[in-house]
Amino acid sequence: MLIALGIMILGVIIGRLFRKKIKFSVSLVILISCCALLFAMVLKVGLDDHIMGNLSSLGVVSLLLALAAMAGSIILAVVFSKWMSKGK
Amino acid sequence: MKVSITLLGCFVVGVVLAFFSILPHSVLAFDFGTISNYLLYVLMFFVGVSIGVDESIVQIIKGLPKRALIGPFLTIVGTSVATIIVYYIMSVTGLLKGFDLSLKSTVTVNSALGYYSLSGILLTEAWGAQIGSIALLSNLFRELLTILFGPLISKYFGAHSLIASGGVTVTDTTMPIILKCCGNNAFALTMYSGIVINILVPFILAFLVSI
Repeated sequence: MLIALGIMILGVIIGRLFRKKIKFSVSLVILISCCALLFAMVLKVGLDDHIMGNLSSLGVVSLLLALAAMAGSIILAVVFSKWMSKGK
Repeated sequence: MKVSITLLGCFVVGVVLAFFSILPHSVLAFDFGTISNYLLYVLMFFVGVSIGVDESIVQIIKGLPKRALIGPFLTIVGTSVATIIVYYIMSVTGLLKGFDLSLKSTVTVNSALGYYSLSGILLTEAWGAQIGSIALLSNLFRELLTILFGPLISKYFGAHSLIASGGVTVTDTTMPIILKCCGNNAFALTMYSGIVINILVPFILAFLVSI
Protein backbone atom coordinates (compact mmCIF):
# COMPACT_ATOMS: atom_id res chain seq x y z
CA MET A 1 0.00 0.00 0.00
CA LEU A 2 2.76 2.43 0.96
CA ILE A 3 4.62 1.56 -2.24
CA ALA A 4 1.48 2.35 -4.28
CA LEU A 5 1.02 5.68 -2.46
CA GLY A 6 4.70 6.52 -2.94
CA ILE A 7 4.38 5.80 -6.65
CA MET A 8 1.27 8.02 -6.86
CA ILE A 9 3.12 10.90 -5.16
CA LEU A 10 6.02 10.37 -7.59
CA GLY A 11 3.47 10.59 -10.40
CA VAL A 12 2.11 13.89 -9.02
CA ILE A 13 5.64 15.34 -8.87
CA ILE A 14 6.52 14.15 -12.38
CA GLY A 15 3.16 15.38 -13.70
CA ARG A 16 3.72 18.78 -12.10
CA LEU A 17 7.31 19.10 -13.38
CA PHE A 18 6.57 17.94 -16.92
CA ARG A 19 2.99 19.21 -17.27
CA LYS A 20 3.83 21.19 -20.44
CA LYS A 21 5.71 18.28 -22.03
CA ILE A 22 3.11 15.57 -21.41
CA LYS A 23 1.19 15.44 -24.68
CA PHE A 24 -0.37 11.99 -24.53
CA SER A 25 -3.78 11.26 -23.03
CA VAL A 26 -3.14 10.29 -19.42
CA SER A 27 -6.79 9.31 -18.95
CA LEU A 28 -6.48 6.81 -21.84
CA VAL A 29 -3.41 5.26 -20.20
CA ILE A 30 -5.37 5.06 -16.93
CA LEU A 31 -8.28 3.37 -18.71
CA ILE A 32 -5.99 0.82 -20.39
CA SER A 33 -4.20 0.17 -17.07
CA CYS A 34 -7.58 -0.22 -15.36
CA CYS A 35 -8.74 -2.72 -17.99
CA ALA A 36 -5.52 -4.74 -17.71
CA LEU A 37 -5.71 -4.64 -13.94
CA LEU A 38 -9.35 -5.70 -13.85
CA PHE A 39 -8.64 -8.50 -16.31
CA ALA A 40 -5.73 -9.85 -14.25
CA MET A 41 -7.75 -9.58 -11.04
CA VAL A 42 -10.76 -11.31 -12.55
CA LEU A 43 -8.57 -14.17 -13.80
CA LYS A 44 -7.21 -14.49 -10.30
CA VAL A 45 -10.73 -14.45 -8.84
CA GLY A 46 -12.18 -16.60 -11.64
CA LEU A 47 -9.66 -19.35 -10.98
CA ASP A 48 -10.80 -19.46 -7.36
CA ASP A 49 -13.42 -22.25 -7.17
CA HIS A 50 -14.76 -21.05 -3.82
CA ILE A 51 -15.58 -17.59 -5.16
CA MET A 52 -17.02 -18.84 -8.42
CA GLY A 53 -19.22 -21.27 -6.54
CA ASN A 54 -20.65 -18.38 -4.52
CA LEU A 55 -20.85 -15.78 -7.29
CA SER A 56 -24.63 -15.41 -7.15
CA SER A 57 -24.62 -14.76 -3.40
CA LEU A 58 -21.52 -12.50 -3.65
CA GLY A 59 -23.33 -10.45 -6.25
CA VAL A 60 -26.39 -9.92 -4.05
CA VAL A 61 -24.32 -8.84 -1.02
CA SER A 62 -22.17 -6.56 -3.21
CA LEU A 63 -25.25 -4.96 -4.75
CA LEU A 64 -26.83 -4.36 -1.34
CA LEU A 65 -23.60 -2.81 -0.05
CA ALA A 66 -23.40 -0.55 -3.10
CA LEU A 67 -27.00 0.58 -2.64
CA ALA A 68 -26.36 1.24 1.06
CA ALA A 69 -23.27 3.30 0.26
CA MET A 70 -25.16 5.36 -2.31
CA ALA A 71 -28.20 5.85 -0.06
CA GLY A 72 -26.07 6.97 2.89
CA SER A 73 -24.12 9.53 0.90
CA ILE A 74 -27.27 10.80 -0.86
CA ILE A 75 -29.15 11.32 2.45
CA LEU A 76 -26.27 13.29 3.98
CA ALA A 77 -25.89 15.28 0.76
CA VAL A 78 -29.57 16.29 0.89
CA VAL A 79 -29.08 17.54 4.49
CA PHE A 80 -25.89 19.29 3.37
CA SER A 81 -27.67 21.00 0.43
CA LYS A 82 -30.35 22.36 2.76
CA TRP A 83 -27.68 23.66 5.12
CA MET A 84 -25.82 25.27 2.19
CA SER A 85 -28.97 27.01 0.94
CA LYS A 86 -29.70 28.33 4.46
CA GLY A 87 -26.27 29.94 4.56
CA LYS A 88 -26.90 31.96 1.37
CA MET B 1 -20.89 4.83 -20.07
CA LYS B 2 -18.48 3.48 -22.70
CA VAL B 3 -15.78 3.30 -20.08
CA SER B 4 -18.00 1.40 -17.66
CA ILE B 5 -19.07 -1.00 -20.38
CA THR B 6 -15.43 -1.54 -21.42
CA LEU B 7 -14.48 -2.32 -17.83
CA LEU B 8 -17.51 -4.51 -17.29
CA GLY B 9 -16.61 -6.29 -20.55
CA CYS B 10 -13.08 -6.97 -19.24
CA PHE B 11 -14.63 -8.28 -16.05
CA VAL B 12 -17.06 -10.61 -17.82
CA VAL B 13 -14.48 -11.88 -20.34
CA GLY B 14 -12.04 -12.61 -17.50
CA VAL B 15 -14.72 -14.50 -15.55
CA VAL B 16 -15.73 -16.54 -18.61
CA LEU B 17 -12.11 -17.34 -19.58
CA ALA B 18 -11.26 -18.42 -16.06
CA PHE B 19 -14.50 -20.23 -15.23
CA PHE B 20 -14.60 -22.30 -18.41
CA SER B 21 -10.80 -22.85 -18.39
CA ILE B 22 -10.52 -21.58 -21.97
CA LEU B 23 -6.99 -20.23 -21.42
CA PRO B 24 -4.03 -22.58 -22.04
CA HIS B 25 -2.31 -24.06 -19.00
CA SER B 26 0.84 -22.02 -19.70
CA VAL B 27 -1.17 -18.81 -19.20
CA LEU B 28 -3.05 -20.14 -16.19
CA ALA B 29 0.30 -20.89 -14.55
CA PHE B 30 1.08 -17.14 -14.28
CA ASP B 31 0.91 -15.57 -10.84
CA PHE B 32 -1.94 -13.14 -11.46
CA GLY B 33 -1.59 -11.71 -7.95
CA THR B 34 1.91 -10.42 -8.72
CA ILE B 35 0.84 -9.21 -12.17
CA SER B 36 -2.07 -7.31 -10.57
CA ASN B 37 0.32 -5.65 -8.14
CA TYR B 38 2.56 -4.31 -10.90
CA LEU B 39 -0.44 -3.12 -12.89
CA LEU B 40 -1.71 -1.32 -9.79
CA TYR B 41 1.62 0.51 -9.49
CA VAL B 42 1.37 1.61 -13.14
CA LEU B 43 -2.21 2.77 -12.52
CA MET B 44 -1.26 4.69 -9.36
CA PHE B 45 1.62 6.40 -11.17
CA PHE B 46 -0.63 7.67 -13.94
CA VAL B 47 -3.35 8.71 -11.47
CA GLY B 48 -0.60 10.82 -9.85
CA VAL B 49 0.48 12.23 -13.22
CA SER B 50 -3.15 13.14 -14.07
CA ILE B 51 -3.41 15.11 -10.79
CA GLY B 52 0.01 16.73 -11.34
CA VAL B 53 -0.69 17.96 -14.89
CA ASP B 54 -4.05 19.53 -13.96
CA GLU B 55 -3.27 23.27 -13.80
CA SER B 56 -6.76 24.31 -12.74
CA ILE B 57 -6.96 22.35 -9.49
CA VAL B 58 -5.78 25.16 -7.19
CA GLN B 59 -8.04 27.78 -8.88
CA ILE B 60 -11.06 25.46 -8.75
CA ILE B 61 -10.63 24.83 -5.04
CA LYS B 62 -10.02 28.53 -4.27
CA GLY B 63 -13.26 29.48 -6.01
CA LEU B 64 -15.46 27.22 -3.89
CA PRO B 65 -17.57 28.51 -0.98
CA LYS B 66 -16.13 27.48 2.40
CA ARG B 67 -19.17 25.43 3.37
CA ALA B 68 -18.85 23.33 0.22
CA LEU B 69 -15.46 22.10 1.39
CA ILE B 70 -17.01 19.62 3.84
CA GLY B 71 -19.09 17.87 1.11
CA PRO B 72 -16.63 15.02 0.40
CA PHE B 73 -16.19 14.32 4.11
CA LEU B 74 -19.97 13.98 4.48
CA THR B 75 -19.94 11.51 1.58
CA ILE B 76 -17.45 9.37 3.51
CA VAL B 77 -19.45 9.64 6.76
CA GLY B 78 -22.79 8.93 5.04
CA THR B 79 -21.39 5.88 3.28
CA SER B 80 -19.88 4.48 6.48
CA VAL B 81 -23.00 5.04 8.63
CA ALA B 82 -25.32 3.46 6.03
CA THR B 83 -22.91 0.53 5.65
CA ILE B 84 -22.94 -0.12 9.41
CA ILE B 85 -26.78 -0.08 9.43
CA VAL B 86 -27.03 -2.38 6.42
CA TYR B 87 -24.37 -4.70 7.86
CA TYR B 88 -26.53 -5.25 10.98
CA ILE B 89 -29.69 -5.71 8.90
CA MET B 90 -27.92 -8.31 6.72
CA SER B 91 -26.51 -10.05 9.80
CA VAL B 92 -29.95 -10.26 11.44
CA THR B 93 -31.62 -11.52 8.25
CA GLY B 94 -28.92 -14.16 7.75
CA LEU B 95 -27.71 -12.76 4.41
CA LEU B 96 -24.11 -12.83 5.59
CA LYS B 97 -24.14 -16.54 6.46
CA GLY B 98 -21.14 -18.23 4.84
CA PHE B 99 -19.28 -14.92 4.30
CA ASP B 100 -16.08 -13.86 6.03
CA LEU B 101 -17.39 -10.29 6.37
CA SER B 102 -16.89 -8.55 9.70
CA LEU B 103 -18.16 -5.05 10.45
CA LYS B 104 -14.66 -3.66 9.88
CA SER B 105 -14.17 -5.40 6.54
CA THR B 106 -17.67 -4.37 5.37
CA VAL B 107 -17.04 -0.72 6.21
CA THR B 108 -13.63 -0.96 4.49
CA VAL B 109 -15.27 -2.43 1.35
CA ASN B 110 -17.55 0.60 1.03
CA SER B 111 -14.89 3.09 2.15
CA ALA B 112 -13.35 2.71 -1.29
CA LEU B 113 -16.24 4.93 -2.51
CA GLY B 114 -16.16 3.46 -5.99
CA TYR B 115 -12.40 2.84 -6.25
CA TYR B 116 -12.86 -0.79 -7.27
CA SER B 117 -9.43 -1.48 -8.71
CA LEU B 118 -7.56 -0.33 -5.63
CA SER B 119 -9.99 -1.83 -3.10
CA GLY B 120 -10.20 -5.13 -5.00
CA ILE B 121 -6.44 -5.59 -4.94
CA LEU B 122 -5.83 -4.24 -1.45
CA LEU B 123 -8.59 -6.21 0.25
CA THR B 124 -7.75 -9.43 -1.62
CA GLU B 125 -4.22 -9.10 -0.26
CA ALA B 126 -5.39 -8.18 3.23
CA TRP B 127 -8.40 -10.41 3.82
CA GLY B 128 -8.57 -12.91 0.94
CA ALA B 129 -10.22 -13.33 -2.44
CA GLN B 130 -13.83 -13.37 -1.19
CA ILE B 131 -13.74 -9.92 0.44
CA GLY B 132 -11.61 -8.59 -2.43
CA SER B 133 -14.27 -9.75 -4.90
CA ILE B 134 -17.07 -8.19 -2.86
CA ALA B 135 -15.08 -4.92 -2.79
CA LEU B 136 -14.55 -5.06 -6.54
CA LEU B 137 -18.21 -5.85 -7.30
CA SER B 138 -19.70 -3.46 -4.74
CA ASN B 139 -17.63 -0.50 -5.94
CA LEU B 140 -18.20 -1.35 -9.59
CA PHE B 141 -21.96 -1.50 -8.89
CA ARG B 142 -21.75 1.93 -7.23
CA GLU B 143 -20.25 3.44 -10.36
CA LEU B 144 -22.69 1.73 -12.73
CA LEU B 145 -25.75 2.58 -10.62
CA THR B 146 -24.64 6.23 -10.37
CA ILE B 147 -24.44 6.39 -14.16
CA LEU B 148 -27.72 4.53 -14.67
CA PHE B 149 -29.74 6.44 -12.04
CA GLY B 150 -27.87 9.77 -12.35
CA PRO B 151 -30.78 11.64 -13.95
CA LEU B 152 -33.22 10.41 -11.26
CA ILE B 153 -30.88 11.16 -8.35
CA SER B 154 -30.24 14.64 -9.73
CA LYS B 155 -33.95 15.32 -10.31
CA TYR B 156 -35.19 14.20 -6.89
CA PHE B 157 -32.23 14.85 -4.59
CA GLY B 158 -30.10 17.50 -6.34
CA ALA B 159 -26.54 17.97 -7.61
CA HIS B 160 -24.81 17.41 -4.26
CA SER B 161 -26.48 14.01 -3.96
CA LEU B 162 -25.40 12.90 -7.42
CA ILE B 163 -21.81 14.02 -6.73
CA ALA B 164 -21.90 12.19 -3.38
CA SER B 165 -23.29 9.06 -5.01
CA GLY B 166 -20.44 8.97 -7.53
CA GLY B 167 -17.79 9.02 -4.77
CA VAL B 168 -14.33 8.68 -6.20
CA THR B 169 -15.56 8.20 -9.79
CA VAL B 170 -16.76 11.79 -10.23
CA THR B 171 -13.44 12.92 -11.67
CA ASP B 172 -13.72 10.47 -14.57
CA THR B 173 -16.52 8.07 -15.54
CA THR B 174 -19.47 9.72 -13.76
CA MET B 175 -18.42 13.32 -14.54
CA PRO B 176 -20.26 13.43 -17.91
CA ILE B 177 -23.57 12.33 -16.38
CA ILE B 178 -23.20 14.82 -13.49
CA LEU B 179 -22.55 17.75 -15.84
CA LYS B 180 -25.36 16.61 -18.16
CA CYS B 181 -27.87 16.44 -15.30
CA CYS B 182 -26.69 19.33 -13.11
CA GLY B 183 -25.10 21.74 -15.60
CA ASN B 184 -21.52 22.95 -15.99
CA ASN B 185 -21.69 25.03 -12.79
CA ALA B 186 -21.41 21.74 -10.88
CA PHE B 187 -17.93 21.25 -12.35
CA ALA B 188 -15.96 22.96 -9.56
CA LEU B 189 -17.72 21.08 -6.77
CA THR B 190 -17.47 17.80 -8.70
CA MET B 191 -13.74 18.23 -9.29
CA TYR B 192 -13.10 19.30 -5.71
CA SER B 193 -15.10 16.37 -4.30
CA GLY B 194 -13.43 13.88 -6.65
CA ILE B 195 -9.90 15.11 -5.93
CA VAL B 196 -10.37 15.13 -2.14
CA ILE B 197 -11.90 11.64 -2.15
CA ASN B 198 -9.23 10.36 -4.58
CA ILE B 199 -6.53 11.54 -2.18
CA LEU B 200 -8.29 10.33 0.98
CA VAL B 201 -9.45 6.85 -0.11
CA PRO B 202 -6.00 5.17 -0.26
CA PHE B 203 -5.20 6.52 3.23
CA ILE B 204 -8.60 5.47 4.64
CA LEU B 205 -8.25 1.96 3.18
CA ALA B 206 -4.67 1.61 4.44
CA PHE B 207 -5.75 2.80 7.90
CA LEU B 208 -8.77 0.45 8.11
CA VAL B 209 -6.75 -2.53 6.90
CA SER B 210 -3.94 -1.88 9.37
CA ILE B 211 -6.05 -1.43 12.56
